This record gives sequence, structure tokens and C-alpha cells, in this order.
Amino acid sequence: MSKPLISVRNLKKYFPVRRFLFAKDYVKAVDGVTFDIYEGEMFGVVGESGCGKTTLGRTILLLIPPTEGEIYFRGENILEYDKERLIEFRRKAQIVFQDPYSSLDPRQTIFDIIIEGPRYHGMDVGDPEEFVVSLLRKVGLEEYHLYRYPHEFSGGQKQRIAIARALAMNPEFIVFDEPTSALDVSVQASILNMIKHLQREYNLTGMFISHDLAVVKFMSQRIGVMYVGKMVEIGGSEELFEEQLHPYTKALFSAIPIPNPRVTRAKKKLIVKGEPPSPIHLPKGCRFYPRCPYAMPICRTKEPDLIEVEKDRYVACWLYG
Amino acid sequence: MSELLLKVEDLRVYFYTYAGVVKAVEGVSFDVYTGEVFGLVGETGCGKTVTSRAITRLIPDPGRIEGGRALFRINSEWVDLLQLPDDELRKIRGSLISYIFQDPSSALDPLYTAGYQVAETITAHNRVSWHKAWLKAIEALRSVLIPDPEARAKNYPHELSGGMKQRVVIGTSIVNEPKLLIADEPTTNVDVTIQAQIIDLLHELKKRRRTAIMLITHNMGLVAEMADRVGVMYAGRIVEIADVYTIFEEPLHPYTQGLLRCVPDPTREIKELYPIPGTVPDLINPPKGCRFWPRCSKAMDICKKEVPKRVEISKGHYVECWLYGGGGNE
Amino acid sequence: MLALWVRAMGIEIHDKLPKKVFGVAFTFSLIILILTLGMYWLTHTPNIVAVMAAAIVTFANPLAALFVWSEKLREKTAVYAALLVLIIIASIGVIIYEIHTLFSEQFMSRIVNSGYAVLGLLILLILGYVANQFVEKLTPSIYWRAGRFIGEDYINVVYVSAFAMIGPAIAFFGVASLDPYLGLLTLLLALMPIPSKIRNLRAYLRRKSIAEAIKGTINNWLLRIPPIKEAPEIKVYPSGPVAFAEFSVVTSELVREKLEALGESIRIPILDMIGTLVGLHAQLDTTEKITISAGLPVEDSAVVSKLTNKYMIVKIDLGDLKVVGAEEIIVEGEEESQILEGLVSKKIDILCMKDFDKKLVNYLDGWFIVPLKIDSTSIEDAQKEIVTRIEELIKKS
Repeated sequence: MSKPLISVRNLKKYFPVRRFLFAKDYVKAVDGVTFDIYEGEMFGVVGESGCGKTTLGRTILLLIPPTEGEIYFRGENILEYDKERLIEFRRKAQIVFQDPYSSLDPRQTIFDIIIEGPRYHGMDVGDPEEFVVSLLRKVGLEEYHLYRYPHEFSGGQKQRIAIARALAMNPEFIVFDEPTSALDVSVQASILNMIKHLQREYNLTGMFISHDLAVVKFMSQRIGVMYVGKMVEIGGSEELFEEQLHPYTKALFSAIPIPNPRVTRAKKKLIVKGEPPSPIHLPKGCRFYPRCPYAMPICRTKEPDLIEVEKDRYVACWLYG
Repeated sequence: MSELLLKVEDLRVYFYTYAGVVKAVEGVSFDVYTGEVFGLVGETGCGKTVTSRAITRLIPDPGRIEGGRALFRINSEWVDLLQLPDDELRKIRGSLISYIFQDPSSALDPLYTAGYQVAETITAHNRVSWHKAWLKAIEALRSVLIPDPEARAKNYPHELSGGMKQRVVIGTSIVNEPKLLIADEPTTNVDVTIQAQIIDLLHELKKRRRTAIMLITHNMGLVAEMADRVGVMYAGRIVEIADVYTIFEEPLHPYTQGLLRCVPDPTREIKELYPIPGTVPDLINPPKGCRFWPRCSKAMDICKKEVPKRVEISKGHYVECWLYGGGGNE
Repeated sequence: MLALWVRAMGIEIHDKLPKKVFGVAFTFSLIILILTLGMYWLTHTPNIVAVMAAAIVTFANPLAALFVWSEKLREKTAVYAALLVLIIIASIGVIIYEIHTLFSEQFMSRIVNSGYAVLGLLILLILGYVANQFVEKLTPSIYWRAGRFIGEDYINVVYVSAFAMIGPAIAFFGVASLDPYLGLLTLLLALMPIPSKIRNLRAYLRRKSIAEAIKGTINNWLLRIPPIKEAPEIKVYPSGPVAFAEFSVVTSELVREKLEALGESIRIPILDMIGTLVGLHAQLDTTEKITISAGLPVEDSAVVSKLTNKYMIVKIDLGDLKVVGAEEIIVEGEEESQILEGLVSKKIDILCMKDFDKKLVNYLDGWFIVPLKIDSTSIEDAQKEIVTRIEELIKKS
């Protein structure tokens, strides 16, 4: 098994909410998350709205400063990097956002958008036009798109441009934050295929964030499930879909409608009652407690740690010790 | 025993924009029966939403319904919704036919409590006292599984979670016991676990009240879960209609086949998805003949010249494609 | 503050707000009040009187909490009620007196030494803020709601001081005519905490029903735990918005090894569920003079080793180690989680099977149900085996 490219240890990101004067409450968007991403793999992160997966993606790239915890890149704690190494890290770790409409500067041509990063980092790209054109071709666009503006492209094409922009930096790690959620099914299919091919070609490591479990399974080798700021289960994609350990994961997976009527109608759906708790004042104990069919008194008392119960399978649940 | 409830024939809706005339819906026909879920699927711009709104003439400027009939059965009589006088149509809309839209937060008025909005729907269509309407509203909220409905009825929309809001919207839509419920992407902006609750709710409605549901969506999983019959739309036309099992297992139209190959099925190990080459056509100047031919791997000469007619391949399975004839019975 | 004493046959749980919370609250209230008195003597501005009124009110909530927190004062909550009434009257009285003085002196500016006034008000503002934050920070997280309650009136000191600064400051800059109006407004602003104190007084009058509600919540939680058969003595001492709870619980000897964990499963959820508690005192004892139930999964009158819907419940007197009854019950449910929930609700003390998978053991442990490995397949043999095993279990501990 390859080494971890990215290691996250007890990462926390709290957002302050002003109460009065200087008194604050905190929205615990990410509340102590620990996991590894191995070199060359795509690590999927799934969860429902408010679980913190988007905040996690941005915090790992230091787009948002973490509140607590450590982030290791190739064994080094990036929070201790000096300015130079930080810039270097920012080049090596890129992000593709969900919304293709706002992530591209409407006043710049495609050429400018893509060449901006390499120029800033002083990268040697040879002839800039040739460089950008070859990237455009890689993402399925054409040379004549070079000097057009973002508004002239469809949503799917904009995402291709965003991906080309990320690739221009010759990155080692890319975070994909719901890259296809706003796109139609067939456009999504072609972009997902493309990401897979590019990942192999460039030997990229990636983190794929999505609420669509079927898409995440298709894209990732390993998946982490988040619930209200914490990782509750981590495992290989196939294994996780075959058997879920954590009661939340079980409910989540059983709720996905499968595009196959015979299978999906035969599937038993575990309806989870209730709603997730407020991320400001979390009750003591496991945050899934009020909705968990297996809830025990200890679940109301102490939060379970994420432990390895089988090879490469982690669960945070008192049912597993 | 299922009876025919809605019969849409040759519906045509055009939008007269500055850029040109957008032929959004070009000759759409389908049936909906009581107690069934009819899924209308397709990607953005295929015209499914416009079709669903055209049925009760909810088409804003610059759109215009240019042709066709929307026959709706009230008791044993048939009325053409497209020809009804405005005031009679307004009586039907919100009572016999009601809608659930995609974004629950915009469907609810932030200045009024949940209970008020449901009760208002009741009094708009029924001669009852406000007090009675309020009680009925609470029952409606209860029937959509909102816990503690008496308290929730007094909440404002911003005090409710997304799942709750969507349930209130569903409550508003069913409180007058509609015969036809048109749900436009009812679970798109909602979490998976809440989506499961809403699907469950809609199933209950269908079972208990024999409400017919027209489900508009691009989510094939939702369709597989809920629909009894499915109509597939592409660029303003219906290309295939069949029961849900047939659509998924024996799709005939190349677009339907392509659509299903794009959707990842997590129960199988998939190495690659197969996107449909090309892009959706410009509806101001759509392709001549079959609108799908530029993207179709099986396109023939006739496809580029003439619009295929609808053919019934087997009972209840209709296709509009030259591969299957289209000049008559085959 | 948590203290756990393990006695010969039981444990005692003492958990309450740390004493220093009260120390800090009363100290700050006193300092703020004395400061306002001193400043009034120095400056005679109505704005200071407004802060004085707010300062008087800050004593109310800490007193409400103190009178249930302290063992000696617990029985004397009537004194608290009297003090609360005094505080309300004093606060309103001071305001009315000052308004009266304002009007009777032809509504003219009366500020003397406005520089001191502004400085003093700034200090009061900071003191109010610090008091509120100090109280909240000293409160352990499980008592966060009680902490907010105790410190909430200092926020009024902050706001009233802030508003009060406008008056003297403007007079200082020469617009003397505005000052009395601002003074009047500030005094009215200082009335703001009064409604909530009156609500506290009304809560005091309703304290019996509040106590019943809290007792109900505690009782429900305790009885959900299978080894707890009954919770006879739950005492709740309410002062209206806050309360203290005391109870004792008896369980069977079988959970003797797990008594500490059981204590935690009682203490933390109860304190977390009932935000108005400032502390609890619980006694947890084990006994052999109790009848326990052992559950045997059965199918076609034979013992099986999986989770079924039919169980033979064997009642055993723990003291005599004799079977005193047996009945067959049905547990509803198709899903594993539903059956497990059902078993827990039947309050069995033991579940018997040939072998258990780890997940089931963890679940039973979590509910303090003893997983017992038995080999017998007939119900009679099983009953005998269970008694023997229980004997071993008890002898061991």
C-alpha cells in the first residue's frame, strides 16, 4: 500500500457567531477529523448538507485557516510551513469548485484564466499558447476556445476549463468539491470519465466531495462518511457499499434510490427519524444518538472515537468497541 | 381499477424571445391514470417543466400555448383545461390539480406561518370558517408526518428545516385532496435521508388517497423508486413511454438507452460511464426531422428529414423513432 | 465538580456547579453595585442610576441558583422568593425615584463631573462584560445553560452603561439640553430585565409543577435502563428557573462491576437533558434481594442461538438463586435494531445464547444487560444452567 500523501489529524474548524460585544458561540463545522489519503487514490467524502465536507476540503488546502489540528503533506506539517513552502504547497494542491458560473473570472479570457497560476508561480511552461492549448485539448476543448470568455461556454465546458486551470499548475493533489452536481446527467458522465482518465494519466491524488453516493462510488477507491462535523466511517468503496457498519451509514446508503426499479423497490429502506443536531450546541455523547436505532446509554454519555475495526475499515460507534 | 384521468394531446408551447422563437414543447402527448405515478424525465431544457405547467396554463410571458388539448376528467366529464375560462381553471388549480415545486423555501411566504399558508389554501377553495380551516391545516401537517403539528403550524418558514419546509409545501398541496399532484423535482435540493422520508410520504398518498402523481425529474434513481410509467422527453418531444421496468430493462429509443448508460449504478461495478456525444440542440433552430439525430449513433437519412411518428411497440410501450417504423403500425 | 465515592455495595454521585461560579458572580455584582453608588455620589447623573438598577438585578439569577445549589438553603427557597421581590422592587423603585427627581428639578441638566461619569460608565461596561464571560468560562460545559442563566443579567449592565455614556458625553460636548431626555430613556432602558425577573417569580410560584416535570424526565430516563427496576426516591428542589435533583436507585448485583459506567450513564444524560439543573446527587446501590429476568431466544419450544421474535423470560430470585417464574413473550420487529430495542424495553437483565458476535456484546454491554453463554438447548436444562452461571458470576465479584 502506498504512503499517505495527505494526513489529517484531529482537524477542527469552528466559525464564530457573534452573540454580543466580543462574546461568541461557535459553529463546529469540522469537529475533530482524522484520516489519510494515499498517493494515487481518489478519496471520496460523502455526507448530507451541513456535515462539513465542503469546509473540510477547503481547510485541508488552507483556503480557510484551521482552528485546531494538523495537516501533513508528504509527512510534513503544512501548518508549520514558512511562506515559501506554503506557496509551493498552494501550487501542488488545487481545487475544482461546484459552481462553474462563479469560479471563473468573467473578465478574463480562457487563456488568461489558465495561464495566470503558472505565471504567478514562475513556472516554465515553454510557449504559453501551446501549453494552454494542449491542456484544453486534454479536457476536451478546442484551440479556438482560447480567447473566448467564460459566458460563452456551457456549465459543463466551464467545469472543463476549471479542471484545466487546476492541471496547469502541475498539481499532486486536487480537491473536487461537488464538481458535477450542477450539471445534467450526460454532461456529468463525460466529465467524470475525464477526471478518471486524467487522474490516471497525471498520477494525481484526489479528494472527491459529493452528496451523490453513486457518483462517489464510481470515482473513489476509499470513502469517508461525515455526519455533523465528524467522520463516522471510512472504508473501501466496494466494501462500504456491500456492508455498512455505522448505523448512519447504513441508513444513508439504504436511502439512495438505485437506478434499477427491481433492485430499488426490493431494498429495505431504513427511514431515519428526526433531524441532525445544531452544530453550535451539540449534546453530549454521539451526535447521531437521537436518530440511531441502536442508541445505548453510553452513546448519550461519551463520543465514540474513530477506530480501526478491520483492515482499513474505521468506525466511530460504540457498537464496535 | 385505474381510470384515465388526464389526456394531453399534441401540446405545443413556444416562447417568443428577442433571440427568436423557442419551440420548447413541440407536440407532446401522454396519459395519466388515477392512482399511478407518471414520471416525466429528461435533462435540462427538454421541456418537462414547461409541459407540466402548461397543463394548467401556468406559462408566463413570453410563452404561449400554441396548440393541443389537456383533457382532464372531473367525475365523469371531460374538460379541456386549455380552453376553460380563467375563473373555472383557477378553481381547479390548487384543489383538483396541485403542484409541488423544487425549491421549498421559495414556495413558502416568509411572512406567514406554516399553518396560515395551509389554511389559506383551504379557504381559497372551500367555504369554511377560518377556525375549521386551521384545524384541517393541522391535520394536513400531521398527515405529512410533521411531528407536533400544532406547534409547527405556528412557526414561520425560516424557523423550519429544509425537510420540514418541503413537507409543509406538500401539506399545502394535498390539503384539498387533489386528484392530480404535479411534483417538479420535489427532492432535488433535499438530503438523501429526507428524500427517503418524502418518497415514503408520496407513496402513502398514492396508496391511501389514490392521488395520481406526475413526477418531473432528471434523477433516474427517484424514477426507478417511484414511477409506475415513464415518459422520456428530449428537446421538446416525448421520445418513449413505457412502464418503469420496461424503460430500464428494455429501452428502445437511442436517447433513453444513452441516458441510462450515463447514470452510475452503485450496486454494480462500473469502470466507465458512457456519455451521449454532442450537446442539446438550440430550440430556436432545432434540427430538422428527429431532434435527436445529430447525437444518435444510429441516425439514418430519414431521421434528418422527417419527424418520426409515435409507434406502439407493445401494449403501453410507445416510441417515436424511425428505427421502429413510425409510418403506421409495425 | 464531580465526586465519586465507591462504597461497599454502591456508589454516590455528587455533581454540581463549582463554588467559584457563585463567588465570581456575587463579587462582581457587589463591586458593580458599589461602584454605581460611589459614582452617583460623585456625579449625580440619572444615567448612573439606570446602571445601578441593572446592577441590583444581577443578584437575582445567582441567588436563584444558589438557593438550590446549597444544601442548607435548599429548604428555604421562600427566602429567595422574598429576596427576588425585594430586588425587583428596589430596581424599579430606584428608577422611579430618579425619574421623579428629574421631573421635580424642572428637567434640567444635573450632571456634575461628566468626565468621571463617562470614565466610570466605561469601567462598569467592562466589568459587566467580564462578569458575564467569567461566569460562563468557569461553568463546566455540561452546565452551559445554567451558566448562561446566572450570567445573563450582566449583559444588561453592558447595554445600559453603553447607552448611558451618550448622555454625559454629549453634555460634555456642550449640548446640555439633550441630557435629561437621554437620562430618562436610559432609565426606561434599565427596566428591560424586569419582565424576565417577574417571569422567574412566576416560575417560583409554579415550582411544584416544574419539579414534577423534571422528576418525570429523570424517571423516564432511569427506567429505560434495564437493570433499574424502579426509582422510588426522586427529589427535585426547584427555585423556578433552576433546580437541584436528588435520587437513589437500586440495581441487581449483576451490574456490580459496571457501577461506575452506570453512574456516568445516569449523570451525564440527565444533566445534559435538563438544562435547568445546577447539580445532582445520586445514590446507586446493588442488592441481591431482587428478582431478575433472563431472556432465552426460543423457536418451536427449543432454545436457539439467534435473535428471534419469541423469548422465554425466566425470572430468578437473586438472593435464593431460584427460578420463580417463566413466561413466553413476543418481541415485535423485523429489523435487528427493532428486536434489540424491544428486548431492552422488556428490561431483561441477562440474554442467553450459545455464542454472541462482538456487535451484540457491545450493544448488551451498552445497556448493562449481561450476555450469558449457555450450551443447553432445552428450556429446562437452560434454566438450570442459567442459575448455575449466575451463581458463579455473583461469587466472582
